[in-house]
Amino acid sequence: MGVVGLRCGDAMPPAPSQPVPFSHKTHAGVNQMGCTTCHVYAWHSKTAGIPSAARCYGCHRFVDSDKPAVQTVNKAFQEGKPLVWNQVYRLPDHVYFTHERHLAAGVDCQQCHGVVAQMDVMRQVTPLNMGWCLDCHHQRNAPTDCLTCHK
Amino acid sequence: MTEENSNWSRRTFLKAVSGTAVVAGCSKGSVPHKLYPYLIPQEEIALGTPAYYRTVCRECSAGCGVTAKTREGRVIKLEGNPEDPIGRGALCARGQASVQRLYSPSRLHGPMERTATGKFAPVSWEAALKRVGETLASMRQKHEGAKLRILTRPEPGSAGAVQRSLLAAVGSASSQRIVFDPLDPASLRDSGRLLFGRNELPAFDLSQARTVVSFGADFLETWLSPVELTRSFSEGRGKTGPERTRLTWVGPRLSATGGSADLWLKARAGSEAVVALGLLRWIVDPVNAVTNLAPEAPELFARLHAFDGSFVEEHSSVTESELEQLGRELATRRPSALLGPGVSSTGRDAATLANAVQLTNYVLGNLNTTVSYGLDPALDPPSAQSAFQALIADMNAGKVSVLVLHHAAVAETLPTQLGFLEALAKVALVVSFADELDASSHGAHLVLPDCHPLESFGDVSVRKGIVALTQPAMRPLEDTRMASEVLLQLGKSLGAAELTPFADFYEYSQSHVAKFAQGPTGGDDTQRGLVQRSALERGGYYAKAVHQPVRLNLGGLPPFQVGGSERKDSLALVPFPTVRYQSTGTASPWLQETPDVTSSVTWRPWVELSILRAKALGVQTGDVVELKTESGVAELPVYIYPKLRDEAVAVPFGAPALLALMPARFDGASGAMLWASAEVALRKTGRREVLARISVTPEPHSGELVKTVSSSQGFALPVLTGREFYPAPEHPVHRWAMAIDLDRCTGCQACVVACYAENNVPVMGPEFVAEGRSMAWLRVQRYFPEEDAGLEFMPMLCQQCGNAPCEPVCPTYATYHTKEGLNAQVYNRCVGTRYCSNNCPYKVRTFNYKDPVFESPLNLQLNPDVTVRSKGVMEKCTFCVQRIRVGENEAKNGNRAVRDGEVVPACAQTCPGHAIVFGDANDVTSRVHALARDPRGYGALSELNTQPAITYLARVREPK
Repeated sequence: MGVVGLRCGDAMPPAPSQPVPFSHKTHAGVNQMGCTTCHVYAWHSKTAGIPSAARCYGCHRFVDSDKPAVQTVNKAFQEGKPLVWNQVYRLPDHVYFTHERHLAAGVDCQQCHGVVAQMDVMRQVTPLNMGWCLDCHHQRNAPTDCLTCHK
Repeated sequence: MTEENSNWSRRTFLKAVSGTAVVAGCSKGSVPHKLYPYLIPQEEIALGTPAYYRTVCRECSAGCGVTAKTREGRVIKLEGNPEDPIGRGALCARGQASVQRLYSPSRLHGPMERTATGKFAPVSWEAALKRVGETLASMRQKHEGAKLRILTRPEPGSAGAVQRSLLAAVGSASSQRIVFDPLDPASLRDSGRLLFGRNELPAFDLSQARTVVSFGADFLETWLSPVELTRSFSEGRGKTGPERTRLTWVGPRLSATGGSADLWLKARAGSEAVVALGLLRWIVDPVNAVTNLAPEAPELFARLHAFDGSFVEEHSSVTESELEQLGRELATRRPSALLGPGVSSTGRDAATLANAVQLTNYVLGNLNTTVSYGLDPALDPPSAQSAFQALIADMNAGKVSVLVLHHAAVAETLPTQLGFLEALAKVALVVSFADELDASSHGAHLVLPDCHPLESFGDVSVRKGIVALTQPAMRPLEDTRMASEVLLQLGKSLGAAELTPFADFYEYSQSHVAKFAQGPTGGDDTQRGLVQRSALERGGYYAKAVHQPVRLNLGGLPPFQVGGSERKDSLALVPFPTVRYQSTGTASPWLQETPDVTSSVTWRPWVELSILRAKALGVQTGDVVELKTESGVAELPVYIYPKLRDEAVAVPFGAPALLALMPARFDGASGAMLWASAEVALRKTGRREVLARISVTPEPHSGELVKTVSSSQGFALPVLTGREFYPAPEHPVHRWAMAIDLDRCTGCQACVVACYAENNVPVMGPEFVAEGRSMAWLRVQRYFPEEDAGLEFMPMLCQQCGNAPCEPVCPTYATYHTKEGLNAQVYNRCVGTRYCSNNCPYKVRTFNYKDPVFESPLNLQLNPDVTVRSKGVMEKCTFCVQRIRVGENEAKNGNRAVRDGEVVPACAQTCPGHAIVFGDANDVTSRVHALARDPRGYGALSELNTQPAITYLARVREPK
C-alpha cells in the first residue's frame, strides 16, 4: 500500500518515449544554448513552441551529422516529414496558461520545468495541478481570480 | 476485503481507495499527446497567437471587407474590415456564418463525375479537366461556340474577365455568359436607364437622410448592401431631437426592416406602386405648395392626375390623411431617401414603383445627395431574370451542349415552373463548380469543387474607386481548385491570347489590378511590390469616387399604369428574403439555429398568416396548411404574425415550397422576376408540426423591459432604497460595462451569430430548440408594441449584475463576481444544479442538456481560447473574457492602461448599426461611462436591484 496518502495529481508521469534520444543536457547544458533559441514563441505567446525541423537542420547539417540520431533528424527535414514528439508538459483543456505573462513576470523556465540543462531525458518534474499553481501565485501576489486561468 | 484489514479506520480506507484511483488515473492518462513541429516555420505565424488576413465576403453582392482571424493555420472567426468603405468593420449574420461553409461537412472532398448509373463517383482532376478541355476544343474546331453557356454569380473583377476570355477562345459571344443574382432589383436598375440614362444601380447614403421611406425594400436585412445601409441609417438614430432619422415602411407585411419604422403604411399586397404614385402626386400637387421642387414637377403633376387620394385609398387602403402626413414630412424634412422596390414589392407594377420612387427622389432633390448615380462600376451587372427563361428555352431546344455553372443555384432560387432541372437533362455536358452536391449540381456531369473564398485569390470591385482583394487565409481543406484557376488553364489550353501570358490566376489577378498599384511613385517596379503588399494588408485599393450628377429625361417614360392591386377576394402570396437565407448550398448550422428576426422561427420554413386570417381558417401557429397557386401546391406550418395584412400570405425565401408556389412571371420592360404576383388559396390540413421558435416569454408585449422615450420628455428611473445583505462589490481597476442603444438596434441577429462563432456555443438542433434548450448566450428579444408601427428589439445577454441573483445560490461557487465587474462562470467547478438559472431574472444562462456536437470538420473552427463545455454544465456570456485578457495583456506589455475601444466583444464588434458599446466604466473618459449617464439610459429590470452592468438606451418614439 505504498501509494496510500498520495494527493491526486501529485504523481508525476514517467518520461514519455521520443522519436530520437534528444538530450536537453547536451543542448542547454554542455553547449549552453538558451531556452528560447529553440522554443521561440515563449516570450510572445501562450505557447513556447517546439523547434521546427528547419531549426534542427540549420545546425545539424554541420554539427554531428554523422551520428545516427542526428541523421534521423536531418532526414526528417529533407523528406519534409518532421518528427512527431510526445508532449511532456500538458495542462487540461479548461486551463489557459500563457508563457508570455510568466516570463514577463520574471519566472525562470526552470521553476516549472526543472533543471533542464542537466536532463538527458526530459520528464515532468512539477505536478502542474491547481494547488501547485496557486502556491506560487499566492507567494508572488499574482492574480488568483478564477477567470485568470479558466474561461 | 480480507479479515486482517477489517480494523482499518474509515479514513484509512478512503485514502487507500483514492490512492488506487490515482494509479488508475495515471495509467489512463499515460497516452501522450503528440506535438507536430513545423517543417519550416512561417514568419507571420506565431503559435498560440492569431494571424489576420484581409479578404472579401462573397455571401451576397454587397462585397463587405472581411478580416479573417486564423489560429495555427485555421480560420476561426470572421470580422469586418474596418478599412473597407462598404462594411467598415461590420458583418451581417450571413457573413459571420460563412466560415461554417468553409468547414461544412457536406463539402465535396474532390471532383466528382456522374457515372452511367446516375450516381456520382470521385474522379481525378486530370481526367475531369481532360474531358472538359477536349469537349471545348472540339466545340471550337466544329465552330459550335454558340452552344456554350456560362451561368455565373456576378464576378466584378478578374474572375469575370477570365470567363469572358474563355468564351472568346471557344468562339462564343460574351452574351452567352449569363450573370445570376436572384435578388437583384432589376426594375430599379432599369428605371435608372429610363429616367436618367444610366443603366446601373444607384448608391444610397442614408446618413444624410432625415426621412427614409421604404417601399418593400428590406435594406436593413438583405436589400443591396444591408451592412452599409444599416450603418448609414443608424447614424441618424439614437437621437431625441428632430434631427433623428425617421423611417416609414410601406407594404402589407412589416418586415425586419419595418421593425425599425416610425410609421407603417399598411398598403395592400401589390399596391406599393399606387402609394408611391399617390405620394408623388401629393408632393407635386400645386395645392400643397411644396417648395424647392425640381422644375419638372408641373409636368409630372399633369401625368399623375388620376392618382389622387381617393384613388390611392381605394386601391391600396392607405388613407388620404396618411398619405398627406407622409407627404408633409417629406416636404419639410430634407434631404430624404425613398427606397424600392424590394422582393416583396416586386409585383406586376414593379417597374412603375421603381420609376415613381426615383422620380420622387428626383423632385425632392435627393438625387446627388442621398441617392447617387455613377458609383456603380457596372462591371458585371446581373442579367435580367428573364434571361433564364431564354436560356432554359435554348437548353430545351438543344441549342446548348456545354453549360458551366459557377455558383449559380438556379434550381434553389427560381420557380420550379421554369423547368430548369428538366432542361439541364438535355445538355450534353454540365460542369458545376459547386462545393457540394446541391440541387443544381445533381443534374451536372462533372462537379469541380471550387475553393471557398477564404482559400482563394481574386479581386472584386463593387463600387467605383474600390478594388477589394481576396486572398487565402488558409490552405484548401479539401482537394479543391479555384474555379477561376481551372477556367484560366482551360482558356490557355485553347490559346486564349489574354490568358496565355499568365502562369496562374494569382498572376492574372495581380496584373488585372496592377493599374491601381502604381501608388505615389507612378509605377516604379520596386515600389509596386510594396504597394501591392500594403493593399493586401489593408484589404484592397480604396480611393474616393465622385458620383455623377444626372438629369431627368421624361421622354422615354411610359404613361403611369397600375394593374396589380385591384380589390380581389383572393389572397396574395408575399415572398420575402431574410438574412438567414443562403441561395447556394446547405445553410450553416448557425444560420439555421438563428431565429428569424420577426417570427423567431428556427430551422425550417413557415407561412405567415394574420390573426384574422388564421381565425377564419381555424388554424393556430404550428398547424400545417396547404397553399395553392396557379403554378403549384405546397404545405407549410403556420406562424401567426400580427403585423401582416389580412389578405397577405407571406412565405420566406429558402423554402422549396415557395419555388413550387411562385409563377415564372417576368416584367416585360426590365425582365425582372415578378416575385410577388401570385394569388394563393389556403386549406387546412389538420396536421400539426412543431415550429422550433426561440421565445423566452409567452408575452407578446415587452411591458417595462423595452422603454421608449419621446423627443419631448424623458422618463423616471426607479429609485431604490434599503440596505444590502451582501457588501457591495469593489472594482479597483476595471469595471467592464456595456451600453446598448435600442434606437439603433435593428434586430439583425449579426451579434447572435458572432457570439456563436467566438464562444464555441453549440448548435442544438430543432428538437432541443423547440424545448427551449437553445444554447445562445445572446438573443434578440422581439416584442410587438401597442402602437402600430415597428417592432421592439432588445438584445438580451448576461447583465453582469453588481448584485447578481445567480451568485449566492451556487453551492460550488462556480459563479461569482470578479474584481473587474464580470459575473464569472467557472465551468470546471459547475456541477449543474441549475439553481443559478432558476434565479436569473433575465434567463440568460443556458444549460448543456447534452454533450455538444461539432461535426467534423466544423470542429476546426472552434476558438482555442474558450473552453468547450460539456453535458451538465451551465454556461453564459462573460463579455468575451478571452478578449478582455488579450487587451489587458497588450496593455501590460506596453506598460500602459487599457485604452477605450481596445477590448471589443464579438457582438459589439460586428454590430452594423453600432448599437453596442463596450468599455471600462471606471475610465471616466470612456464612451460607455458617458452612455451610462445618458438621459435615455436605464437598466433592464433594475427595479429588482440587480445593478446590471449593461445600460440600455431607450428607443425613441415621437409623440403622436
